[in-house]
Amino acid sequence: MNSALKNWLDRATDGLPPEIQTRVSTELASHYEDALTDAQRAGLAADAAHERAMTELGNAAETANGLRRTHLRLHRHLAVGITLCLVLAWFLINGRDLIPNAYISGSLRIITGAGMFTLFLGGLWLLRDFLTRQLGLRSLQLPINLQLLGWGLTVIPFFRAVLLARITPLNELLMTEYPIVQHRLFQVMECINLAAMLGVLALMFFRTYLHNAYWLKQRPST
Amino acid sequence: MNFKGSLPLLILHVLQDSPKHGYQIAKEIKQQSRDVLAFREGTLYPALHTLEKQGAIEAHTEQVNGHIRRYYRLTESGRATLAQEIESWNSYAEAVNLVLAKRGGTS
Repeated sequence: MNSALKNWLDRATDGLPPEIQTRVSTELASHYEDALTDAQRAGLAADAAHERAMTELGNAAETANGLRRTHLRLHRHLAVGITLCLVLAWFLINGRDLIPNAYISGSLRIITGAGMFTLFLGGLWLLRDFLTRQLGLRSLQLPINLQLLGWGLTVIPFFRAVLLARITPLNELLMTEYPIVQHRLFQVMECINLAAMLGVLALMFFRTYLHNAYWLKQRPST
Repeated sequence: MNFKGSLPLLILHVLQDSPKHGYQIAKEIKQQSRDVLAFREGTLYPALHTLEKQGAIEAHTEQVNGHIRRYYRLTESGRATLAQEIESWNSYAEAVNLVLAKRGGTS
Protein backbone atom coordinates (compact mmCIF):
# COMPACT_ATOMS: atom_id res chain seq x y z
CA MET A 1 0.00 0.00 0.00
CA ASN A 2 1.44 3.39 -0.98
CA SER A 3 1.89 6.12 1.62
CA ALA A 4 -0.66 8.50 0.05
CA LEU A 5 -3.35 5.82 0.19
CA LYS A 6 -2.36 4.88 3.73
CA ASN A 7 -2.60 8.55 4.81
CA TRP A 8 -6.00 8.85 3.16
CA LEU A 9 -7.26 5.67 4.83
CA ASP A 10 -5.90 6.79 8.22
CA ARG A 11 -7.82 10.05 7.93
CA ALA A 12 -11.00 8.48 6.55
CA THR A 13 -11.20 5.85 9.30
CA ASP A 14 -9.87 8.02 12.12
CA GLY A 15 -11.87 7.61 15.33
CA LEU A 16 -13.58 4.33 14.39
CA PRO A 17 -13.27 1.25 16.62
CA PRO A 18 -10.17 -0.81 15.58
CA GLU A 19 -12.09 -3.78 14.14
CA ILE A 20 -14.30 -1.53 12.00
CA GLN A 21 -11.29 0.56 11.03
CA THR A 22 -9.50 -2.56 9.69
CA ARG A 23 -12.57 -3.81 7.83
CA VAL A 24 -13.38 -0.45 6.24
CA SER A 25 -9.73 0.22 5.34
CA THR A 26 -9.54 -3.12 3.52
CA GLU A 27 -12.75 -2.36 1.66
CA LEU A 28 -11.65 1.14 0.63
CA ALA A 29 -8.17 -0.08 -0.35
CA SER A 30 -9.83 -2.64 -2.67
CA HIS A 31 -11.89 0.18 -4.15
CA TYR A 32 -8.69 2.15 -4.81
CA GLU A 33 -7.01 -0.89 -6.42
CA ASP A 34 -9.99 -1.42 -8.74
CA ALA A 35 -10.05 2.25 -9.72
CA LEU A 36 -6.28 2.13 -10.33
CA THR A 37 -6.57 -0.99 -12.51
CA ASP A 38 -9.41 0.57 -14.54
CA ALA A 39 -7.42 3.78 -15.05
CA GLN A 40 -4.37 1.84 -16.20
CA ARG A 41 -6.52 -0.23 -18.57
CA ALA A 42 -7.83 3.04 -19.98
CA GLY A 43 -4.23 3.86 -20.96
CA LEU A 44 -3.18 6.22 -18.17
CA ALA A 45 0.41 6.20 -16.91
CA ALA A 46 1.05 4.99 -13.36
CA ASP A 47 1.13 8.48 -11.81
CA ALA A 48 -1.98 9.68 -13.64
CA ALA A 49 -3.80 6.45 -12.79
CA HIS A 50 -2.91 6.91 -9.13
CA GLU A 51 -4.15 10.53 -9.25
CA ARG A 52 -7.45 9.45 -10.77
CA ALA A 53 -7.92 6.62 -8.27
CA MET A 54 -7.22 8.99 -5.37
CA THR A 55 -9.64 11.55 -6.83
CA GLU A 56 -12.29 8.83 -7.06
CA LEU A 57 -11.80 8.10 -3.38
CA GLY A 58 -12.93 11.67 -2.73
CA ASN A 59 -12.50 13.80 0.35
CA ALA A 60 -11.13 11.93 3.39
CA ALA A 61 -12.79 14.25 5.92
CA GLU A 62 -16.20 13.81 4.25
CA THR A 63 -15.74 10.03 4.24
CA ALA A 64 -14.66 10.10 7.90
CA ASN A 65 -17.78 12.07 8.85
CA GLY A 66 -20.06 9.67 6.96
CA LEU A 67 -18.44 6.60 8.50
CA ARG A 68 -18.53 8.06 12.00
CA ARG A 69 -22.21 8.92 11.62
CA THR A 70 -22.88 5.31 10.62
CA HIS A 71 -20.65 3.43 13.03
CA LEU A 72 -20.44 5.65 16.11
CA ARG A 73 -24.13 6.47 16.50
CA LEU A 74 -24.57 4.38 19.66
CA HIS A 75 -21.19 5.42 21.09
CA ARG A 76 -22.05 9.08 20.57
CA HIS A 77 -25.48 8.83 22.12
CA LEU A 78 -24.00 7.00 25.10
CA ALA A 79 -21.21 9.56 25.47
CA VAL A 80 -23.64 12.48 25.28
CA GLY A 81 -26.07 10.78 27.67
CA ILE A 82 -23.40 10.03 30.27
CA THR A 83 -21.95 13.51 29.92
CA LEU A 84 -25.31 15.19 30.36
CA CYS A 85 -25.95 13.10 33.48
CA LEU A 86 -22.54 14.08 34.87
CA VAL A 87 -23.06 17.76 34.13
CA LEU A 88 -26.56 17.66 35.65
CA ALA A 89 -25.15 15.95 38.75
CA TRP A 90 -22.46 18.59 39.01
CA PHE A 91 -25.00 21.40 38.82
CA LEU A 92 -27.26 19.72 41.38
CA ILE A 93 -24.34 19.39 43.79
CA ASN A 94 -22.51 22.63 43.13
CA GLY A 95 -25.13 24.89 41.56
CA ARG A 96 -25.94 26.52 44.88
CA ASP A 97 -22.37 27.77 45.29
CA LEU A 98 -22.59 29.68 42.02
CA ILE A 99 -25.30 32.01 43.38
CA PRO A 100 -24.92 34.18 46.50
CA ASN A 101 -26.22 32.24 49.52
CA ALA A 102 -28.61 35.04 50.44
CA TYR A 103 -30.90 34.04 47.57
CA ILE A 104 -30.84 30.31 48.16
CA SER A 105 -32.36 28.17 50.86
CA GLY A 106 -31.61 24.47 51.27
CA SER A 107 -34.93 23.37 49.80
CA LEU A 108 -34.28 25.27 46.58
CA ARG A 109 -31.02 23.53 45.94
CA ILE A 110 -32.32 20.98 43.40
CA ILE A 111 -34.47 23.56 41.59
CA THR A 112 -31.49 25.91 41.37
CA GLY A 113 -29.22 23.16 40.08
CA ALA A 114 -31.75 22.02 37.46
CA GLY A 115 -32.40 25.62 36.40
CA MET A 116 -28.72 26.36 36.01
CA PHE A 117 -28.27 23.13 34.05
CA THR A 118 -31.01 24.26 31.66
CA LEU A 119 -29.40 27.69 31.33
CA PHE A 120 -26.04 26.01 30.74
CA LEU A 121 -27.44 23.86 27.91
CA GLY A 122 -29.21 26.86 26.37
CA GLY A 123 -26.01 28.89 26.55
CA LEU A 124 -24.01 26.08 25.01
CA TRP A 125 -26.55 25.73 22.19
CA LEU A 126 -26.46 29.49 21.50
CA LEU A 127 -22.65 29.45 21.55
CA ARG A 128 -22.54 26.56 19.12
CA ASP A 129 -25.12 28.22 16.89
CA PHE A 130 -23.10 31.44 16.89
CA LEU A 131 -19.80 29.71 16.17
CA THR A 132 -21.19 27.57 13.38
CA ARG A 133 -23.52 30.09 11.70
CA GLN A 134 -21.71 33.38 12.23
CA LEU A 135 -18.07 32.34 12.26
CA GLY A 136 -18.39 29.26 10.05
CA LEU A 137 -16.60 26.98 12.52
CA ARG A 138 -18.21 23.78 11.25
CA SER A 139 -15.53 21.70 12.91
CA LEU A 140 -16.98 22.35 16.35
CA GLN A 141 -18.41 18.99 17.34
CA LEU A 142 -20.79 19.48 20.23
CA PRO A 143 -20.90 15.90 21.53
CA ILE A 144 -17.12 15.68 21.93
CA ASN A 145 -16.82 19.16 23.38
CA LEU A 146 -19.73 18.57 25.73
CA GLN A 147 -18.07 15.35 26.81
CA LEU A 148 -14.82 17.16 27.62
CA LEU A 149 -16.67 19.90 29.46
CA GLY A 150 -18.65 17.32 31.40
CA TRP A 151 -15.56 15.50 32.50
CA GLY A 152 -13.89 18.77 33.40
CA LEU A 153 -16.83 19.94 35.46
CA THR A 154 -17.15 16.66 37.33
CA VAL A 155 -13.72 15.08 37.59
CA ILE A 156 -11.72 18.15 38.55
CA PRO A 157 -13.97 19.24 41.44
CA PHE A 158 -14.05 15.60 42.54
CA PHE A 159 -10.27 15.44 42.84
CA ARG A 160 -10.31 18.80 44.55
CA ALA A 161 -12.77 17.45 47.11
CA VAL A 162 -10.63 14.34 47.64
CA LEU A 163 -7.55 16.48 48.11
CA LEU A 164 -9.37 18.72 50.58
CA ALA A 165 -10.57 15.73 52.58
CA ARG A 166 -7.08 14.27 52.73
CA ILE A 167 -5.50 17.41 54.05
CA THR A 168 -8.23 18.18 56.55
CA PRO A 169 -6.18 17.00 59.58
CA LEU A 170 -3.23 18.95 58.26
CA ASN A 171 -5.53 21.88 57.62
CA GLU A 172 -6.69 21.93 61.25
CA LEU A 173 -3.12 21.87 62.45
CA LEU A 174 -2.13 24.65 60.06
CA MET A 175 -5.14 26.75 60.99
CA THR A 176 -4.19 26.80 64.64
CA GLU A 177 -0.41 26.88 64.36
CA TYR A 178 0.36 28.50 60.99
CA PRO A 179 -2.70 30.38 59.68
CA ILE A 180 -0.73 32.26 57.01
CA VAL A 181 0.66 29.03 55.54
CA GLN A 182 -2.83 27.53 55.57
CA HIS A 183 -4.21 30.56 53.76
CA ARG A 184 -1.48 30.38 51.12
CA LEU A 185 -2.01 26.65 50.65
CA PHE A 186 -5.67 27.17 49.84
CA GLN A 187 -4.81 29.99 47.46
CA VAL A 188 -2.43 27.67 45.60
CA MET A 189 -5.11 24.95 45.47
CA GLU A 190 -7.67 27.36 44.11
CA CYS A 191 -5.18 28.51 41.47
CA ILE A 192 -4.50 24.89 40.44
CA ASN A 193 -8.23 24.21 40.27
CA LEU A 194 -8.87 27.33 38.19
CA ALA A 195 -5.95 26.52 35.85
CA ALA A 196 -7.24 22.97 35.39
CA MET A 197 -10.73 24.24 34.59
CA LEU A 198 -9.37 26.77 32.09
CA GLY A 199 -7.25 23.99 30.57
CA VAL A 200 -10.34 21.86 30.03
CA LEU A 201 -12.21 24.78 28.49
CA ALA A 202 -9.28 25.53 26.16
CA LEU A 203 -9.11 21.87 25.19
CA MET A 204 -12.86 21.88 24.57
CA PHE A 205 -12.68 24.74 22.08
CA PHE A 206 -9.42 23.90 20.33
CA ARG A 207 -9.36 20.12 20.24
CA THR A 208 -11.42 19.72 17.09
CA TYR A 209 -9.91 22.80 15.48
CA LEU A 210 -6.34 21.60 16.01
CA HIS A 211 -7.26 18.08 14.99
CA ASN A 212 -8.76 19.25 11.70
CA ALA A 213 -6.10 21.85 11.01
CA TYR A 214 -3.20 19.51 11.62
CA TRP A 215 -4.47 16.03 10.90
CA LEU A 216 -7.11 16.50 8.21
CA LYS A 217 -5.70 19.44 6.25
CA GLN A 218 -1.94 19.59 6.58
CA ARG A 219 -1.26 15.97 5.75
CA PRO A 220 -0.96 15.43 2.00
CA SER A 221 -4.07 13.95 0.45
CA THR A 222 -2.32 12.39 -2.52
CA MET B 1 -24.44 15.26 -9.87
CA ASN B 2 -25.04 13.68 -6.48
CA PHE B 3 -28.53 13.19 -5.06
CA LYS B 4 -27.86 11.89 -1.57
CA GLY B 5 -31.45 10.99 -0.81
CA SER B 6 -31.70 8.62 -3.75
CA LEU B 7 -28.52 6.66 -3.01
CA PRO B 8 -30.11 3.85 -0.92
CA LEU B 9 -32.70 3.31 -3.67
CA LEU B 10 -29.99 3.12 -6.34
CA ILE B 11 -27.84 0.75 -4.28
CA LEU B 12 -30.77 -1.60 -3.64
CA HIS B 13 -31.74 -1.48 -7.30
CA VAL B 14 -28.22 -2.31 -8.50
CA LEU B 15 -28.00 -5.24 -6.08
CA GLN B 16 -31.24 -6.83 -7.36
CA ASP B 17 -29.60 -9.17 -9.84
CA SER B 18 -26.40 -10.32 -8.14
CA PRO B 19 -24.09 -9.60 -5.19
CA LYS B 20 -21.58 -6.81 -5.88
CA HIS B 21 -18.76 -5.05 -4.06
CA GLY B 22 -18.56 -1.29 -3.49
CA TYR B 23 -16.59 -0.43 -6.60
CA GLN B 24 -18.93 -2.44 -8.85
CA ILE B 25 -21.94 -0.70 -7.31
CA ALA B 26 -20.43 2.76 -7.82
CA LYS B 27 -19.38 1.89 -11.39
CA GLU B 28 -22.75 0.45 -12.34
CA ILE B 29 -24.66 3.47 -11.02
CA LYS B 30 -22.30 5.74 -12.92
CA GLN B 31 -22.58 3.76 -16.16
CA GLN B 32 -26.33 3.27 -16.02
CA SER B 33 -26.86 6.99 -15.39
CA ARG B 34 -24.50 7.85 -18.28
CA ASP B 35 -21.99 9.42 -15.87
CA VAL B 36 -24.57 11.78 -14.37
CA LEU B 37 -24.63 10.10 -10.94
CA ALA B 38 -21.15 9.65 -9.50
CA PHE B 39 -21.15 8.87 -5.82
CA ARG B 40 -17.92 9.26 -3.95
CA GLU B 41 -16.94 7.01 -1.07
CA GLY B 42 -17.85 9.72 1.42
CA THR B 43 -21.49 8.85 0.76
CA LEU B 44 -21.36 5.39 -0.84
CA TYR B 45 -19.76 3.30 1.92
CA PRO B 46 -21.59 4.91 4.85
CA ALA B 47 -24.84 4.31 2.89
CA LEU B 48 -23.87 0.67 2.25
CA HIS B 49 -23.00 0.13 5.92
CA THR B 50 -26.22 1.78 7.05
CA LEU B 51 -28.30 -0.45 4.75
CA GLU B 52 -26.41 -3.45 6.13
CA LYS B 53 -27.19 -2.40 9.71
CA GLN B 54 -30.85 -1.98 8.74
CA GLY B 55 -30.87 -5.50 7.35
CA ALA B 56 -31.72 -4.45 3.79
CA ILE B 57 -28.46 -5.95 2.50
CA GLU B 58 -26.00 -8.46 3.89
CA ALA B 59 -22.27 -8.72 3.29
CA HIS B 60 -19.75 -11.51 2.92
CA THR B 61 -16.02 -11.42 2.30
CA GLU B 62 -14.20 -13.20 -0.52
CA GLN B 63 -10.61 -13.24 -1.64
CA VAL B 64 -10.35 -12.48 -5.37
CA ASN B 65 -6.95 -12.23 -7.12
CA GLY B 66 -5.20 -11.59 -3.81
CA HIS B 67 -7.63 -8.81 -2.84
CA ILE B 68 -10.13 -9.17 -0.04
CA ARG B 69 -13.54 -8.13 -1.37
CA ARG B 70 -16.67 -7.41 0.58
CA TYR B 71 -19.71 -8.38 -1.47
CA TYR B 72 -23.18 -7.08 -0.70
CA ARG B 73 -26.39 -8.95 -1.41
CA LEU B 74 -30.02 -7.88 -1.23
CA THR B 75 -32.06 -9.55 1.53
CA GLU B 76 -35.77 -10.33 1.45
CA SER B 77 -36.36 -7.35 3.69
CA GLY B 78 -34.26 -5.29 1.26
CA ARG B 79 -36.48 -6.35 -1.67
CA ALA B 80 -39.54 -5.11 0.20
CA THR B 81 -37.72 -1.85 1.04
CA LEU B 82 -36.74 -1.48 -2.62
CA ALA B 83 -40.37 -1.85 -3.75
CA GLN B 84 -41.44 0.83 -1.26
CA GLU B 85 -38.57 3.13 -2.25
CA ILE B 86 -39.42 2.79 -5.95
CA GLU B 87 -43.04 3.64 -5.22
CA SER B 88 -42.02 6.68 -3.16
CA TRP B 89 -39.59 7.82 -5.82
CA ASN B 90 -42.19 7.47 -8.60
CA SER B 91 -44.77 9.51 -6.72
CA TYR B 92 -42.10 12.11 -5.88
CA ALA B 93 -40.93 12.33 -9.51
CA GLU B 94 -44.53 12.49 -10.72
CA ALA B 95 -45.26 15.36 -8.32
CA VAL B 96 -42.16 17.29 -9.42
CA ASN B 97 -43.06 16.71 -13.08
CA LEU B 98 -46.58 17.98 -12.46
CA VAL B 99 -45.19 21.21 -11.02
CA LEU B 100 -42.70 21.59 -13.87
CA ALA B 101 -45.39 20.87 -16.47
CA LYS B 102 -47.64 23.52 -14.95
CA ARG B 103 -44.84 26.10 -15.04
CA GLY B 104 -43.96 25.09 -18.62
CA GLY B 105 -47.61 25.36 -19.66
CA THR B 106 -48.06 28.88 -18.31
CA SER B 107 -44.93 30.43 -19.78
